[in-house]
Amino acid sequence: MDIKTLKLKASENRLKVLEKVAEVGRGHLGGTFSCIEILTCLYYEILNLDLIKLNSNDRDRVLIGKGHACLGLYNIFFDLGLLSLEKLDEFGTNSHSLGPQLNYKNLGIETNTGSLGHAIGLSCGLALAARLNKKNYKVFSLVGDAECDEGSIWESVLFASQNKINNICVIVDRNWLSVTKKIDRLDEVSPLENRFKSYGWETIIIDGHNCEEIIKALKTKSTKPIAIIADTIKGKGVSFMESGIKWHHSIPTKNEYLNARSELENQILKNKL
Amino acid sequence: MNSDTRDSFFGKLYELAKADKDIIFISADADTFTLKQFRDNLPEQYISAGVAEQNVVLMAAGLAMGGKKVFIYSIIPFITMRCYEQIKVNICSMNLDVTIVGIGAGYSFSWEGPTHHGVQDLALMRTLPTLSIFNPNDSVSSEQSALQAYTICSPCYVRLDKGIFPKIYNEEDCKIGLKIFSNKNKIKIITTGYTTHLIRDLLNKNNLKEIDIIDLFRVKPINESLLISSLMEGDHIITLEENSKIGGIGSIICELVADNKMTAKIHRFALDDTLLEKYGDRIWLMQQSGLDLNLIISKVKEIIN
Repeated sequence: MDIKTLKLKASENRLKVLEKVAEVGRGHLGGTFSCIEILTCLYYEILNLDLIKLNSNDRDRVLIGKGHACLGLYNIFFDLGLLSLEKLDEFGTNSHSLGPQLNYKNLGIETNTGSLGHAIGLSCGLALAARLNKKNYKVFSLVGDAECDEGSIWESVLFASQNKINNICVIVDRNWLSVTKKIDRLDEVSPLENRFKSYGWETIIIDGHNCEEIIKALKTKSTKPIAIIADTIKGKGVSFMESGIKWHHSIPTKNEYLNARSELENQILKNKL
Repeated sequence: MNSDTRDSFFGKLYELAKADKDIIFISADADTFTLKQFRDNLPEQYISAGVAEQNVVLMAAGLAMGGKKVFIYSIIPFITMRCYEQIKVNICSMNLDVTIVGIGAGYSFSWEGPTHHGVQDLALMRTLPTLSIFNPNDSVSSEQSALQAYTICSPCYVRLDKGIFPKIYNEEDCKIGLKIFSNKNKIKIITTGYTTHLIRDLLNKNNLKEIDIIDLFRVKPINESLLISSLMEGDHIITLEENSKIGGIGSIICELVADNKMTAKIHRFALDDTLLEKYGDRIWLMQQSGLDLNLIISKVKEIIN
């Protein structure tokens, strides 16, 4: 898929996320918008979808730590035929497994989410299973930068390099915001890239909204585990949401919705030109 | 021949692992004598993951998602409480084939202090849906807990003690999940683990025969129908355990009695909800925590008279 189409897919996805959040009155716009291009490139360009659809043991695995970005994923799943419209419409209603966190009972979803700091350790286990089962699949993890405060992450990061796990690729959606605070960009003691590097990982820093850079990074080959630090903007795409703490889980008012909608529609038009 | 409960468990696991390459063992830097043969002879199936219990549970879940049958091992509080949430979210909520093996049930690591005591884990672990819990107390039940955990294919937790104990189980008892020593009296003692051996000795010494003893090997799910039919016949039920009074088998029996509208009186003997501030051996620690088995003898005599 060409870069222009990927960009269009991403902007259309943002609009659908906004519509759904406004419709059901819950969701996480900020952290979903920050990782839309990452998810788009991963699913449209990198993964073998046929194997995912077949739930084949050979499929590449995607483990998501920040499961609250699920709506971005569901829209991609719908677009790619992994999820029916009927199922997508169940989101936010009682008694369905497609909810505001990921549930492994749905095709394409590997693990339950809701608690942070689990994805990289699970990925290590799956990556080891590939080695033991003589499979060639790769394991991708998407985690947030604030999520990397969790100690469990670093237990797993250390294990991966000590055990020479080289079929794992972690993407950190570095949007510089947690739920309650801005993450200090001038923190020279522990920038994420230094931490991963010092633990023996191949570390790449990219613009997490630039599809060319994302795809190139996702295709990196290394004998080491790979960490892609993707610099992003929380709330990307809606000017008044960008880098705003409030938009971790705020729901837009009617006016905010209309303004956000108009901005996202303009981006879709621009990407169609 | 009798053997140490650890050797029985790990000996059986080694046997199973030799025949099934999908068995993976992860140690969170805990060891025991019999594990040596596993480590030496099946290095592909043995992972030494260091003192990192959260990662051990996560990796175990990942390996199980990749089709492996995983056993993870450390001292009870560390492999249950330290990584409780990982167990809840990644093993139990996805019903994965992972067995948590904890060493140090009750005060079996007495001198190491409260950090090492396995007296609160049962209360915590029994709230986790999908988890089966085994509390073996002799070589047969230890070996059988390895076999059952291997066979079940869903989350299991095995609490191991240390040492050699009189054999009380046979394979059939293990299948039904409990041992009913006798079933003819109006006083029933329901116990589990180490305290089963203690109370049997003490009742013998005191020549008290008017009491039925039931040992619970499978603590979750308990064999409700068998237990209910036995307890229905009792007037007095004494529960005895080397666990916190909150949430252990005393609680399980109270729940069972209440839910089934039984009328028997319940007398609970377990560890008080207090902090231990001094070191000591196993029996001394029990007494410090309010668990004095002689009090049970007095209670039994009081009931009989």
